[in-house]
Amino acid sequence: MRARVLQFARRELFDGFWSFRIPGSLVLILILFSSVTWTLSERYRDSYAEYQRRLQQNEAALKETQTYSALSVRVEKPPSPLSLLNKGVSERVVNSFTVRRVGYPELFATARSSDLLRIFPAFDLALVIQIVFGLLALVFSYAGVAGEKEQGTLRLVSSYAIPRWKLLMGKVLGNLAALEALLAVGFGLFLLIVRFVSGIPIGRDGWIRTGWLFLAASLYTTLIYLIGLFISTRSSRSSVALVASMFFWVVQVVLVPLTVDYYVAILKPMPPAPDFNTSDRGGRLLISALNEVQERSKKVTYAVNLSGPIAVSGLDDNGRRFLQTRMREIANAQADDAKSLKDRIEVRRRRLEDQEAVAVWIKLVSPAFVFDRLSCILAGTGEEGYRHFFHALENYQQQISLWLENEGAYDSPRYFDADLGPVSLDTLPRFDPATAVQWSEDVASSLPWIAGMAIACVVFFLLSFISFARFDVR
Amino acid sequence: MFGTLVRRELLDHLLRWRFLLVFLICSAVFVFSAITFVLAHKRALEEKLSSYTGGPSRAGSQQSVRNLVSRPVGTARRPLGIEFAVNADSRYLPVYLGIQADGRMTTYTTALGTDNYLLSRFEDVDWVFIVSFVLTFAVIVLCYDSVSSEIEDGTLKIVLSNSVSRSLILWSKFAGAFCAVLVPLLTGCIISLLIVLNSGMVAFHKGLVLQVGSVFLLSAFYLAVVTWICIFVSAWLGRSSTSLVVLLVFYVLSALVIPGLAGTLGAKLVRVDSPQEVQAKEAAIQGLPAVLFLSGVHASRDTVDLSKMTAEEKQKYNEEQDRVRADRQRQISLYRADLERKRVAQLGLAMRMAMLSPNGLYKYTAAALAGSGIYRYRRLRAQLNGFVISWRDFLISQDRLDPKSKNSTDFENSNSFSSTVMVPDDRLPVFEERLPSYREILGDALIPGSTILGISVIVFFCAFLVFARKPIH
Repeated sequence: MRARVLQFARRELFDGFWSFRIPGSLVLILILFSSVTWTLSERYRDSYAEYQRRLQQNEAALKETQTYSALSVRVEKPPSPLSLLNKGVSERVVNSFTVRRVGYPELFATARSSDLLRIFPAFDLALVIQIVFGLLALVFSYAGVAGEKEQGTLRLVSSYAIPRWKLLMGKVLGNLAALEALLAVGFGLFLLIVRFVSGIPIGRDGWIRTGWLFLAASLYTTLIYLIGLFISTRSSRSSVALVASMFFWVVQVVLVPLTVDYYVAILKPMPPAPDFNTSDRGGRLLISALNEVQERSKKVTYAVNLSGPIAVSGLDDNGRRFLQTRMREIANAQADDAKSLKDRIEVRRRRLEDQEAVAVWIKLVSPAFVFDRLSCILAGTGEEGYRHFFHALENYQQQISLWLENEGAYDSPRYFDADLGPVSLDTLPRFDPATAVQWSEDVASSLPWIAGMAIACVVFFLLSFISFARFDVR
Repeated sequence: MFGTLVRRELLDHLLRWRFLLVFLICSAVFVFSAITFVLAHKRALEEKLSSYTGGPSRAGSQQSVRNLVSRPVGTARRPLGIEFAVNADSRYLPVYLGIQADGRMTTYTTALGTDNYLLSRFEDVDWVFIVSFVLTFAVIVLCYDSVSSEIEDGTLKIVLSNSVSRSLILWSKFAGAFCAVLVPLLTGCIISLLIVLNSGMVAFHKGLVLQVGSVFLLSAFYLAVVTWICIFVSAWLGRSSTSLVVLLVFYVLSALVIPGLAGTLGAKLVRVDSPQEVQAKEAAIQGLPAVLFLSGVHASRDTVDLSKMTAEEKQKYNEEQDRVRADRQRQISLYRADLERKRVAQLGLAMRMAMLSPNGLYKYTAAALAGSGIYRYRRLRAQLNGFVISWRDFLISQDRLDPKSKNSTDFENSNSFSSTVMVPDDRLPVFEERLPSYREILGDALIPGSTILGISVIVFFCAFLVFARKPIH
């Protein structure tokens, strides 16, 4: 029984080879994947070099910390090699965050007013997969049933004592084997260029993510193939099936992903941003204390940022003692201000997500969009990846607060006195961005999407089967 | 004979389901695009934008010359009426452009729809989008089998057995297909125009009518070129399914891959410093270690105790400080000017690379005809660079009104302007954007337009040669 299915599958596979469908697709994939991967990996190397430069700057900045209150650790989110597969939001948001004893890291759109290249669409391999494999899957499926109906071979095959599900399964397996092999070639080429030509390290995390991305791409290709097969079973002529499939392709790959966000942005505009001017009680307390010290001694100068860092110079013993007594209260007030700011940031974030949610619900009709979303989650470049990163940053911020408490920072003159020289940060806990987000978290976030695609595959296979089984050979 | 053949071809197209589908999709997209344009345009006109303008800000307010030297003057980009037909990605170009007396440009980009980083980059659904993506696809779907299907089912052999020349058949095929494509284009454009006209949001003056007419003609011409490409591929390959696949690969490359890679390649080939690098370099010029600049605490500059200095030493010290500061400002101005030059060069290169595809050529020719997008941005920059000369003259004349003024002309060092004379805002020269004349527009569109013309001639000859030499058995 299984031998029959495999026999049909082999026949489909050979058909693909002899009709130049597979060799032609292979050439197209080799050209597209190699050129796109090479171009993107060159750009990745530039951004990685910049990331390294920023790390050095941040390290030097940390060593210059004059007071405990001015302690601010800049954390860089490293560019992921998998951003070549899907850029996600990584180029639209800032990737550099500051962790202080107060204040909360938040995702903001990058200041790209000077970046004129924004007018060109972003390009990555996920887009190539959506476009090319979407097209190939339909090209492999359109004549699957309709072509045989047209030629009359289906009537002949149906006259044999072979169950129809075996026939259909053979077709599906044969064509999917060819498509998955082509996909494997594309991914292999991507890894080859990234790892050995451009010399970009991928790491264990990257390999596991790449495996899941391959699974997602396979599911996408399978789903499109099955939709194409369903169209083919519903058509009596292969040309009709082909044209209908192409209409479906242009809608799901071009029209929906490119236009829905436009309509949503215009028809459901963002409400005005919430007022970020918080009570700033901490800032006022600080300024009043500093003014008081300055009135006592004209030599006192200070440089402060009202949300945290304080650096005071020229203090005498009285001034130092006075500020020491006030600092705990000021620090607590600053922490309260930061919490109130965080609430407003949350409001803003929810508004952004509400607007996006409308676009996402509409775009769910497009398998290309679902794959895009899935791949950016798995590549760690989606908003989910950034949320996981922020979760790690919040934990790190708690570690810093604890460290300051343990060091007795709030009761020490080093909390504000810049004349005492840089503070020692030897025991300060360090943040490792590479291990901040584990692949397992992103895979867990992607599971509902994977399940959705798998269910859609089963539904379209059943629909195709029902349609095929009901075909009247007369 | 020609008329009969064209009529047959046309009817053949019009009576197909695929034509109906194309027609319905196009009409729906045109209607949606016109409605959303009206809503967006209304909001863009209301949203102010006026807060950026470099003209009089508040009645009765005034500023000193010294402040004016470091203040940018410029304009917010006014939303154009033509944007329902050609938006040319204006959404992603700076909304506000200003220039300081030292020639430094200031730009802001936040435009409607770009404030949510969670939304992916989207295209404005204007006429150009519909023609580039929807109607180009429609032409492919309508014409991929124009010759091949007749070869496959043998009708071409019968037609050729009559005394009909091959060129006549080819022309009639083109004319029939082109007329069929014109139906959704014309219908969609008329519906779109009616909606925009009815909204009363756009004043249709002579210039705008000319521009809209030109964009329509260009769109029709571009679709004619695509029709010839389809006929050429169909005649060359002789198999309908293969023709469709090849044409779709062409569509993918022309509409999606080449324009998509243009930005990436442009960024690679012309390197521009990132915002972080700019910050660090400027900090280095200002004499601050970048690390302090980045951490937001500038407290560790060397301090000098002026109280221990004599009056002469103090004066010398202050003069030296002024000189150093002016020198640093000059270096920063030079660096920023160089950065701006690189950004514009990068944009130009990416645009030229996008124009390697027929779709890119069409898009940028339409942008040139509409005087929007990159062309408008470049023109605005040039106008601001011209305006800064009169702005400087004005500042110098105001500075000289103060008898105690040092009569400086060094705009790179705003501190050298010592005049405290207050200038009322309503006396300030106002920068007004001058929209291009039709001649200038044609000048911009000449090169990309001629390239499309060249391509059309080549494709026509290729199609003709292939069809004329095709053995029909």
